Parts: sequence; structure tokens; C-alpha cells
Amino acid sequence: MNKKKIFIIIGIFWVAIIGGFIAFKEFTLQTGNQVLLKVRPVDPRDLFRGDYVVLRYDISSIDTDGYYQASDFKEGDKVYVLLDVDNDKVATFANIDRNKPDGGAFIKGTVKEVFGSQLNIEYGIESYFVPEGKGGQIQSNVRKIYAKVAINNFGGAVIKSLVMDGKDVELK
Amino acid sequence: MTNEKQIKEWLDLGTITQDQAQKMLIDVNQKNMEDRSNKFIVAISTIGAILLGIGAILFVSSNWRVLPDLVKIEILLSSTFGAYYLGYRFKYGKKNLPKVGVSLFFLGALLFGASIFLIAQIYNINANSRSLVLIWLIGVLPFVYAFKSEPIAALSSLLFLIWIGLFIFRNGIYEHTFFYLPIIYLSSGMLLFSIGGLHYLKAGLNKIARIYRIIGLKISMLSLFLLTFKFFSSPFYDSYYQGLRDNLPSQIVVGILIFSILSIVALLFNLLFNPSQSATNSYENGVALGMLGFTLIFFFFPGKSDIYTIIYSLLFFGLILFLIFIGYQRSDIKVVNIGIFWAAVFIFAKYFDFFWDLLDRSIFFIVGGLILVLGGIAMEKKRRQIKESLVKVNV
Repeated sequence: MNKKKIFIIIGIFWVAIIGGFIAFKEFTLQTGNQVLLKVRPVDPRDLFRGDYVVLRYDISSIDTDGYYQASDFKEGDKVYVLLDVDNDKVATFANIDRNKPDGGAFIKGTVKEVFGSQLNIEYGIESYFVPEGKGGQIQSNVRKIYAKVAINNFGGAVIKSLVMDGKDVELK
Repeated sequence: MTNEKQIKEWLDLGTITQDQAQKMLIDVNQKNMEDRSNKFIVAISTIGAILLGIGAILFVSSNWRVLPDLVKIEILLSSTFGAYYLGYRFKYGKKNLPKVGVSLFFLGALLFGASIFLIAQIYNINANSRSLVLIWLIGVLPFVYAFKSEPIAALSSLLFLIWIGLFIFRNGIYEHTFFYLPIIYLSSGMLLFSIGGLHYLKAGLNKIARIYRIIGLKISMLSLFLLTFKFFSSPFYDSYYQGLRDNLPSQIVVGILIFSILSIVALLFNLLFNPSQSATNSYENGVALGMLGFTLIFFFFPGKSDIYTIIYSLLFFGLILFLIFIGYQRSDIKVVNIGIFWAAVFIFAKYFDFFWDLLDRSIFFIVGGLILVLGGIAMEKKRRQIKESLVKVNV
């Protein structure tokens, strides 16, 4: 194969990776159900992407008592958390299942730790990137903040924005 | 390669005439100048590519909200594909600036990573995600083989090592997992070294093989050096740490096992099928296998005494001598330099380790200073001797 063909193939490969990456996330944002999740932030720094706020949700830590035995789960397990969504779109924990629910609002997560009957679960929406040095603005208003999250039909979630007093938080 | 000293010797012996010697000297000088100039161009343009790449990553990192996300993506993607296209034009299209072309390919590979991180930032993908580094690695790996790019081979080795760290320590590095850092990186370094060796099986990949092997060797030496300290090789004196060891995350055990088994298979393959089949090839793969085997014994049967610290110190010192020997056998000054560098670091570190509490401070620093000055002179002389003898061997 000559160099020109290889050059074009690698170019297409790059476009496919970048395009696929964007399409995968846009699919969730465009087609997903929008819900609000209550957050509890702190702020560290990523090596390549700068400052971000770590978002912990009320549904990040789940007590399985009454639903499952905590010992039924181990680190790395995929779980589906069913959500109750009220009229203001605020979502709260309803149930937890190993299998994908047939209907209703739910979000897919991965068990990170098991402590007694408590499960720590990660949903892939635990980081919110902010301009350098602006994390404090979120920290100081932590009690009023919700994450506006789009969830697709498979339970995959993407953060759309942070919301405070009904408005998107603008950080400049 | 012919040098001025040899031309003079041939002239004195009457092998060549004065005229021939004159012409040869002019040719040699021109060749030397061209080589120096080429190296300078490569160095300058590679540094330029690295600076631009770092600049792009910092640009992403600053998360500047004045520009809309779409504009930022457009800027970064057009820079990525622009660098890639110009690199191709200079190296393979017009062929007028091949060295700069190589650097632009490298810049394209760095900007590709920056683009991935920008998109991940826009969509708030979780921080320190190992998948992003893996996507970057998968994206740049075809370059290594399609265009035989050495800087991108080095970049992909680095990404491989970062990915391993993020994968194994995905829940963070805690005190009981921190002890395993050198073992994980020793098995990863050995894996890189052995994979590098496999590249010798395919003609035309020798330079790529060397990059992987040298980086694998460097990371293995660093890991072994850490294992010469009690902190890493004898942490289980204490029943508290023994208790922590019993709750070791499974990914550490599985990771070490997988990397070690893959390395052993690749090393055996190199041992049996390497086209050179030289004695040095057998020594290298044999020593690497021995080192890996011993480390697996240490991992699965950690001692409660400091026996492993002593054995690792002896092994490390033996390995330094082995590297100098192999470097000499292979006429490879880079391997000799790695050996001498670690000899210096090892002596310095062990001097502090053993004598800090034993000697009076003033004597400690005076003796230490003397060891360094005299040791430096001895090492410089030895290194020069080896380098000169390698030049003679090459001729």
C-alpha cells in the first residue's frame, strides 16, 4: 500500500475516532431524558483538562437494605438505578436492579466500593470541568446546585449543565 | 565511519596518497557538517512540536469560556489535521522538508490527544479517565507502523505506561497499593522491552524495536532501583501491612499476572526466534526472564525479613554490570550510559541509606563529596574508554 493511501486511511481513522466520540455523547444529549440530580461538590485538577468539580450525588451512595443483599454486589458490577422524577424534573432514588429495566427513568452505573449494605456507585458524570480557578463559585453555592443530566435509553448519562435557582450556572 | 585520525594513519602507512587523503578529509568534514545540521534541525523542530503540543494541552486545560466550544473544536481539529497534512506534504509529497515533516506528524499526534481531551472536557467525561489515554494511544499507534515514526513510538510507549497506571490504580493509590507500583511498572517495562524485541522479527522495524526496548529498559531499571529500598521490598515486617496485603484489589494481582505472563511469552519467543540468535540476545532475554521470575516469587511470597531488599540490591548491581557488558558487546553507547547512570545513582542513594545515621554529619558530607568527585572522575574516564573502544570496534 502506498504512503498516500495510508495517509488517507489514518486521516479517516482519526475522523472516525473523533466523530464517533462526539456522536456517542451527542446522541445522549439530543435524545436523552432530562433530569436534575442533587450534587455535593469538591474541586481538584485533571492533568490534561484542568480544573474540575467532583460531583457526588445523592444516588452515588445507595443503601441496598430492603432491595438486595449488599454482598450480592462486588466492585466493578454494572447496576441500573431506577429514578423517581417529580414535576420539577428532580430525580431521586427509587430502586436498584442488576438488569436493564423495561421502562421508567433509570441510569446505568458501576459499583466502585461495597461497605456493609452501602454501595458507592459511579455513573460517569462525576466531573464537571470549569475555567481555571472558578471552581470556588460552585463550592460556595453547593447547597443550591443541581446537575442537569441527559440519560439515554440505555441508561448512559451526560451532564448538560449545572443549575442554580432554576438557571444554568455561567462560569466566565 | 571513517574519521580524521584514521585518514592520517592510512596516510602515514602509505595506504593512501596525499591527494586522496585531502579529498577524503573534505568528504568527511562535509559529511560531519551535514550530520550535525540534520541533528540540529530534528532537535529544533521536535522541541517546537513538543512546545506547540504542550501549548495546545494547556489551552484545553485553561477551559477558556470566551470562545464557544464549537470554535475551540474547530481550531484544534484544523490544527491537528493541518499538521498531519503538512507533515505528509513535506515528507512524502514534495519531499522538500522531510525532517520537519516528521516533527509535524509528531505535532499532529500530540494535537490529536489535545482534541480528545477537549471533547472529553466539553462533555464532562470523568477526570483521569483511562479510556481517553487508550483512545489517544489507539489513534497514534498506526503512525508508528505506517510511517515508522520514532518520536510517535516514544509517545505511544509513554501513553501505554500512563494507561497502565490509570487502569491499575483506578480507585486511587492508597498505602497498601503504593507498594506495588514498582512491581507493576517492572512487569510493564519488561512487557514493553519484550514487545520491542518482537519487532526485530519484521524487517524495517529495527528502529521502532530499539525505542520500545530502551524505554522498557529505563522504566524497568527505575522500578528495580525502587525495589532496592526496604520501603518497597520489605514492607511486610509489620502485621498491619500484612493485613492490608490480604485485601489487595484484584486488578493489581490480575494486572501483574497478565503483564508478566505476556512478557514471559514474548521473551521466550525472542529467545527462540530472534533472527540474530547471538549470545547477547540469549543473555538479555535470559536475564529479563530471571528478573521477572524472581519478582513474581517476591510478589506471591513476600518475606517478613529484609532478605528481598538485599537480593534486589545485589541483582540491581549485577544488572548494572550486565548492561555495561551488553552495551560493550553490542557496541551500543546508549546502553552503557544507562548502566553508568544507574551505577552513579545507586552508589549515591545507598551511601545515604547506609551511612546517614552512622557517621557524624560533617564526616558524612566530606566523605560523600570525596566519593562523588573521585567517583565522577573514575566513571567519566571509564565511560570515555568504553566509548573510544566502541568507536574502534565499529571501524
